[in-house]
Amino acid sequence: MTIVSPSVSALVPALELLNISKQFSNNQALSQASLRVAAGSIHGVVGENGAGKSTLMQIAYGLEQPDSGMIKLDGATLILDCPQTAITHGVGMLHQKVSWLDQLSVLENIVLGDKIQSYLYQTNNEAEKELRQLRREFGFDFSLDQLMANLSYSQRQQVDILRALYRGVRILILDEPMALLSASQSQHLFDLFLLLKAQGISVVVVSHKLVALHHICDVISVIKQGQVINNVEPKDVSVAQITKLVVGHEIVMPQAENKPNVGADKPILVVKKLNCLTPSKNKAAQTYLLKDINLTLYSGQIVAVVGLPGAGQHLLLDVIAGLSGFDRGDITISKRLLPAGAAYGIAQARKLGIGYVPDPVLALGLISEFSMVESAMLGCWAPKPFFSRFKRRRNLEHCTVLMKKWDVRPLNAKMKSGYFSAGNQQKMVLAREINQLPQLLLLNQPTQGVDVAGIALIYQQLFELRQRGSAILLVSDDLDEVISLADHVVIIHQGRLIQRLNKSQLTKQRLHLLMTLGANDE
Amino acid sequence: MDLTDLSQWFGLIDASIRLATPLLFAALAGLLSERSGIIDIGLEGKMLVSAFAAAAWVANTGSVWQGVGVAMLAAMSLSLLHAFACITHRGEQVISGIAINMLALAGTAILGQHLFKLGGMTPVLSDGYRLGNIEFVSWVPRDDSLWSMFYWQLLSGHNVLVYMAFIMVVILSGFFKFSPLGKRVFAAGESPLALSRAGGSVNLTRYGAVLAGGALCGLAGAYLSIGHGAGFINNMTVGKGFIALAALIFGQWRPVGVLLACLLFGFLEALSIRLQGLEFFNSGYVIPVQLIEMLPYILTVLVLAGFVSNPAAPNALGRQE
Amino acid sequence: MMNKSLPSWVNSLVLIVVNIILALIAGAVVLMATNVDVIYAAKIVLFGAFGNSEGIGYTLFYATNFMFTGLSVALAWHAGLFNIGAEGQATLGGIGVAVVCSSFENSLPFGLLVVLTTVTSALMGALWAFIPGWLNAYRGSHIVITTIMFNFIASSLLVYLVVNVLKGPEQMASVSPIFAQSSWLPYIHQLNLFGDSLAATPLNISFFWAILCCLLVHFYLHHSRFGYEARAVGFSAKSTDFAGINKGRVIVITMMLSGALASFVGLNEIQGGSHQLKLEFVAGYGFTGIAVAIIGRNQPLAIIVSSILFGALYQGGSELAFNIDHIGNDIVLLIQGLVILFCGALEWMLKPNIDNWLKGAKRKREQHGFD
Repeated sequence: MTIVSPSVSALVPALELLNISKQFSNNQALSQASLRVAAGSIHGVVGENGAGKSTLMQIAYGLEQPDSGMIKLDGATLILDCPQTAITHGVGMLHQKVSWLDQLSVLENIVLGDKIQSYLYQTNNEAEKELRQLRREFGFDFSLDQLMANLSYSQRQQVDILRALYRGVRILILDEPMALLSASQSQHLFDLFLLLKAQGISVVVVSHKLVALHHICDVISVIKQGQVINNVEPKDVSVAQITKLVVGHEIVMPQAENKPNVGADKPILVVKKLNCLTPSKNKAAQTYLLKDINLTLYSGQIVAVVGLPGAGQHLLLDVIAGLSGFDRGDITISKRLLPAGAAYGIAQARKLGIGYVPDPVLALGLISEFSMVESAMLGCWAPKPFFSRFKRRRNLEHCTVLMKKWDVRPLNAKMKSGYFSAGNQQKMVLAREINQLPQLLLLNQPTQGVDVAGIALIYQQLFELRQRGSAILLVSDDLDEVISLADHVVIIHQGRLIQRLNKSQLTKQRLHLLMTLGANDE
Repeated sequence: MDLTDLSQWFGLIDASIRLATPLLFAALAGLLSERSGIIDIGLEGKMLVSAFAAAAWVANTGSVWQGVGVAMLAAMSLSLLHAFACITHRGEQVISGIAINMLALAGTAILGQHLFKLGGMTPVLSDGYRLGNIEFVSWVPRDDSLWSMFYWQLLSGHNVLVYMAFIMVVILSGFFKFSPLGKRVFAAGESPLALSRAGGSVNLTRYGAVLAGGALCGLAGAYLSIGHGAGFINNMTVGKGFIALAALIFGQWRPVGVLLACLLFGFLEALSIRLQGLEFFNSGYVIPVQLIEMLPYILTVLVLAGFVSNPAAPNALGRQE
Repeated sequence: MMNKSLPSWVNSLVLIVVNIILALIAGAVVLMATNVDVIYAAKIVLFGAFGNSEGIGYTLFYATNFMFTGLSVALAWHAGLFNIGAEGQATLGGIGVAVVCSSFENSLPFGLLVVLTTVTSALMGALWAFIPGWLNAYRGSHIVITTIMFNFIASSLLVYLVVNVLKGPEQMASVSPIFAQSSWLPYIHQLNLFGDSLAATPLNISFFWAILCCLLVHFYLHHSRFGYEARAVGFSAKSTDFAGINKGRVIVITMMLSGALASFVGLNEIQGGSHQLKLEFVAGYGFTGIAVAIIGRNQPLAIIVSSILFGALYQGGSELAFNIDHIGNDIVLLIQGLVILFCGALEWMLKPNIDNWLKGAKRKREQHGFD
């Protein structure tokens, strides 16, 4: 399977979705939505959660069938009844949740679904040759013989792209590809897009990250309430204007107020010379996961910890929350000293007034089979004795009030937690934790999957919490978010805190530089 | 048992191999099924119906190899039921297995009584109506030498199904290592999402694995009633299906590991039979027969207790994705 | 446009009823294959179970056992555990009851004796469930296998105790001596609740204890913190760690409670029914408990109903075996398996059809203007 060179028809769109309508039970997901993707273009698709972007893409890939409407590929009308058909016609899709078999190599993973020539014994020589060539052409930075387990998320994503190329993809759809990537990895991805574009392959990117899309896309389509309401070219419009189209009104991102006076100098969290080593019987083989971390958080402060993936920021959060142990140093929370040793337990942490919004929220923060009201009770039991009875009606009212405040939809506290969309789940867990009025709130990717309006709401709530005197420790890969929220930023690099910046010193470039180089600038 | 008598040890190992065989077939069946992601608690029931089917068929028609075939069909039909419930209808896999065990127990009793009116048994089968043993060559002398005992007790003269069981271990090892189909089964159990993204059919793969497992269970049951034993007795599997499951876990879901685990359990069972009625270190205190009966089950629990969780278990085992 | 939709439990109820009917039909097919007149058999079963006060008495007597084992299975299920060991736990409970009765039958006042038997039974059952529970929580041992192994061990233990320890020296049969009448639980027909009209059956006051247990378990599961934690553990591993719930402790405690519930079969059967320890006194009730729990969708209040259903099946079934020559109790076991199959493993099979049928029925009602 070779790459088809840019075809004759720069005029015939590579992919056309015309007047697509789709209804799920009571929900009209799409009504007469139309999308045209030009050959060899990078096409962004944006919209709020629930606007219909995922449904439209699923139809383009054959995962769902439209109730009405037409799909055309290179001008020819097609019926895509299943992904296999879509793949044969050159449509490929990358899902956000990358899924590979860790125990097999890259090569074995890619050829897994190929037609079986021999049931008993088969070598992969031909496939290997072709894959090697593709790898060279596009400059992927992994080897075919590597075990999948050793690849990072960003590399796995690239394997996904390689497989699509191997199958002769002409239109590549990516669903939220940058959500879990760092800034530098996103840049690498964009370079890849340009290479694909040069080969005449169309790239469709569905994302919330308007700034990134504005940077890379040729065209951006805005989906709202099941329809494609606008197709804009980034060279003509600004990010703010696109935001306005998406949400319907201007979103003013809340700003932090002046430093609150409440207990302004009360240290809530004091971390002194924290050291964490890799668990290993052989002392010589141990490496530092966290080295000599010194960090102090005062009440009414939002401090962000940024770093490349794996630099240690997530571990730091886990250690403070009592989920991981540490080897040396001490942590003092609200005047309570926690010595080194095994994890002291999150139940204890909650008693000390710590709230934790984990990532991912569904797997860790909620129980999908529980109704939302029951999920909202998770972790809030600590002060109650074990034999206490819970009052269902009052809990229900309380939960509904919370849901209303945070605009969690649909407003049904009895519905199963798993049925809510990712953004609403995120908001609910934040609601639950903030409602406990914690002294110290730990946040791990707090706005993952949340749309623009939701993000504004979350920032607002965080600022209010800060105003009340709580301390907030934030870990986020979204540098824009860090700049919006944080009073101070500490950069973590290979387990060490290397720099601390004030709000006034924050720029994206500086953060980026420090994260990657790990050195003081200036 | 005289611990110094070498021939007794050989006899013990010989018995171990014979007792391990049904466990091995059943455990390998469980291996195929669980590697594809489907829990199989119903091994016991499948062994039981196939034991019954084989014995009943042979009692009525006299053809031994047909009996084996019928046994396999019987077990495979239960496998089909299990697959239908778990794969197509996403039913609870453990419950399906329990239902199959119950149906097997009741069904064999009812059918047995209806057909033979012997209280649920089949008539006792004489030698011509059982699977034969295979001897390799007969010119090896039978005497007290080590080689002779090794040859006659361990190597040659086992039932044909015993050899088949060992061959299956080799076949399955190769299957998972070299065959693309084997890789698919592996993928179905580790990450069905990856398999479906790759373009393979998870359901089809699982159906195939479960049915193949059924065939192996059929061999286990056939061995019990017309290979090792001489007919079907009510509830003759007495928990062997579950011990096979424990062997699967102990063997960490790998064919060779499973083989070793089954040999261990076979050895323990053989040992417990020999201990029956013996005096406890010449103290005059006889080991109660019930304790001997309990031994295989207690040892299974100990074996399971010896592990701290099962990282080797197929990732998607039992999950409905 | 949105009309008030049917409450979700209606769908569940219809689905269960349909599945039960399927199981019964399948059982009837097997009966027909063995040359039994199905209509005649059905009449015997129904009359045997509900036709007279004797039948009803036996039905409720069996139902008491099933309530205990059904609750046991259901409680464990909510914590994500398949307790297949109710059989063995009930055996241990019976052993406990028998030992206490034979030791203290004459020396303790009745009230104290009952308390002692109940507590001992519960402790024995809890112990028998504790080991598999602990192994599952802290060693990851598959609970289905360990509990089944413990069933086998329990039955061997029972044989040993009855034959070697408890059996009277001059007795031939493998049973313990009959306990003194002062230790017997009062029969319900002796309580003169409805005048003298009740026939003599083994139905005894442990029936009320069973109902009370159902209510207590219901309260425990849905209105108490421990029940909440148990259900949380049943659904998800990681979120519960995150919430600070001690998963291991929850599993062990739930299994112990589950074992205690199953053990009360000993109270009903031995202190209330036969007044001696017999070898087969559990007789598969542990496995019936699984079917009972499944039909009751693991909800304690519904288990009261499903226990009575199975009690009727057992009583009717033994009448059937009595009346028709070549049918043993295996047919009841078969129907049990079919129920577990259709209501447990295949429970979703007909759901789309039933959903559509119910929607259609609702629409027709609206069109005709009924309300």
